[in-house]
Amino acid sequence: MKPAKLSAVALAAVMAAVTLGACGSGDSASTAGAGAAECTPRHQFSTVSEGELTVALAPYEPAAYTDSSGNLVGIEGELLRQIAEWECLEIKVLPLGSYAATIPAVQSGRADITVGDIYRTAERAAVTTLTDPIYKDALEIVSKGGTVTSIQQLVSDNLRLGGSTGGLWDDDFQKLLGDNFKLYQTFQDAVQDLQAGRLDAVVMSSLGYNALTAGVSGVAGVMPPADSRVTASTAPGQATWPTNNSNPELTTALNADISELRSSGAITEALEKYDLDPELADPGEPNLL
Amino acid sequence: MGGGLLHDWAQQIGPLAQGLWVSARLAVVGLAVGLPLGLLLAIGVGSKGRSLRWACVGIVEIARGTPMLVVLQLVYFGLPQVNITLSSFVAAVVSIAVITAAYTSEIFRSGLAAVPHGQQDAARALGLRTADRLRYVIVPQGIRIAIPPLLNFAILIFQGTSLAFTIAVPELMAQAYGIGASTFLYMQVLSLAGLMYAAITLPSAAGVRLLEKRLGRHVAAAA
Amino acid sequence: MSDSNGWDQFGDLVGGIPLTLELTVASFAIGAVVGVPLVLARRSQFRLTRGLAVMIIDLARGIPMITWLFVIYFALPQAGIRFSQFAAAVLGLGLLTAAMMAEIYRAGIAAVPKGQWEAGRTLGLSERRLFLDVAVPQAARVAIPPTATLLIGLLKDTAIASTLGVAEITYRAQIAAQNTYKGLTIFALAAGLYIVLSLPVAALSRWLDRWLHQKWTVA
Repeated sequence: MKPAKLSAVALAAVMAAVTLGACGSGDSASTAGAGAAECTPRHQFSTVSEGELTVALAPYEPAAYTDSSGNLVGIEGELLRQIAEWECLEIKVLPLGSYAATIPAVQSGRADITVGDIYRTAERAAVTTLTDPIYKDALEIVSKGGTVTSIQQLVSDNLRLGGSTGGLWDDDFQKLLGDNFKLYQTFQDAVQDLQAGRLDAVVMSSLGYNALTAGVSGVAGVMPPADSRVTASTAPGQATWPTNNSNPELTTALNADISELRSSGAITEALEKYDLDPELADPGEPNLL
Repeated sequence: MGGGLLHDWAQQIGPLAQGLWVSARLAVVGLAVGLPLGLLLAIGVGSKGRSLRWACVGIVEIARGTPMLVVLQLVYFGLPQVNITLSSFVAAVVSIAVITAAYTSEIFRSGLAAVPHGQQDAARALGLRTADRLRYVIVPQGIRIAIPPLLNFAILIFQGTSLAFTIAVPELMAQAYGIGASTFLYMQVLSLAGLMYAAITLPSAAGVRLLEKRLGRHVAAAA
Repeated sequence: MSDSNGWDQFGDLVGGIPLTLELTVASFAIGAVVGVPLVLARRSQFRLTRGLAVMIIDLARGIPMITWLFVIYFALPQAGIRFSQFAAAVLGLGLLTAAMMAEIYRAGIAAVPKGQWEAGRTLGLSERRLFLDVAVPQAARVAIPPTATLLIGLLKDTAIASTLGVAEITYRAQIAAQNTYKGLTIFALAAGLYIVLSLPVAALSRWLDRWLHQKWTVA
């Protein structure tokens, strides 16, 4: 039995050491920008790789994804491309399988920033640095024919609801609906179950709903009235770009750039380009859910 | 930071433990259904009848060649299209059983083949029918030889249950990803999940080694 | 949002085959090679060496591959060691393969009847000759079926590399499924690809097994 016990202790030690290391922030201090002689960056900050803005990406249409040539596109993609131009950086996409990989990429210093309709929350603000809100995004309840119209209805009719991991509202719905709430890997899977009859409704972001309607028929989404039992229904989620805690200069620069993009109408344009409500461009005061 | 990690883990361990319980149940039930099927397939593969042999080999190769991820998706999302709608847990059990049957059929087959030929001959000489020969002489000895590799396979299947989160089974990995998504503490929660898997697999592996030694002693004495 | 029926993505999936094969071959190469010193350590007379080998084998097989990949790709950079996504995947899978090959080698060697060793020593063969010319061929026969199973399993295990963004078959299938909502067709196509890729190995293994069986069966 000794070798097994030794393994267990060694394993615990390795794991602890490794995650302790991961607790700390990333490093690297290459100065960006001054590459091309004609380009003067608007702000000074360092990036993981000199002259490049490394974006960890788990593709999520329409927020951020790549086109067939590998360029970063989507609402956030377009905005970042503009920002990269201003800061004299080239965008380098680091494709990864999911947020489970993109967030650690930023935390461990392999990427400067990650994207994809990530909502601001207090918990997340503690372990990464979040930029100011870029646009807002609300909660939608999708059902066949749009018959489910409120959170109260879910409770009183004992309906089965599906959602995807990472939704701001997951914990609240879990508490509220118990076993009637099921978590899927992606909201597309949840929608498949909606059509197979295993669910009565699916909760998703309005961005997700926008991506959805293009491929699925017979379902409709409704933005439910605010319900105090689900915090996210009372205040819209605000999309942000998480960066590493040890690079506040990058965040300051990004915040300034975001502000400029908003006042020039670029955010509204980007939203409209992807068929979204231009009103989302004004998220209001930064809040942390 | 060290205190922070333990604090994080203390908060995460509750939901993770619930997930672990689901993972364990999945593995046990899936194996309970799959192992007998694997034995049957092994006997079928070794049979004299050509069509039976080919059918069994076909089933084994297709099931062995398909990734578990895909079997899960096909059983859960695909079957409803032919009006078989299973719950997440049941679909996961069915998938595990199918994979188990395919892989263990090979293990059983090796075990059965490793039974000394003398045993077959002696059984024939004693006038036993094929069914009795299998039942009382070959299969018991074959199973005993196959036990260590079967147990090792069971350990791998237990780890394989982590894929069930793709069909919305709230097992250990699903819980870990959920916590990671809301807290962004992916590294911490995934390493805790890894430790919890190891907490089951490491002692099991040690146990299998002990079992191998005991069984080996028996064989050496007989030889 | 594309409006296809799933079959159009077949080309995308096929494009993932080279990476899937590269991952499999590279991981197997590392595993088959590293498995040798590992099994020798496992059989060593020294308790410490044995214990260390057992620990490595247990850890490699006992911790889920996703955790290993995350440790290799995200945590090692803290210690200054950076690997690319592909390299991290190959190392993780190679580690697991090495542990499993070590156990397969061990079972193979153990299957060689004691009588063979004794006869060889009586005949005056050196330990080295004994090992290479007598034990290894007989061990190989026992080791081939489990190695084939491992290889087929490894081919599919490479799917885990998709979490690190390596654009092999499964990664492409996931992206395609998200874009077209024809997840079922796409995953069934992906399964078909994996099966087709694994058939040669399975067939070769069964053929090899039968050939060796005929060669080595003692009356």
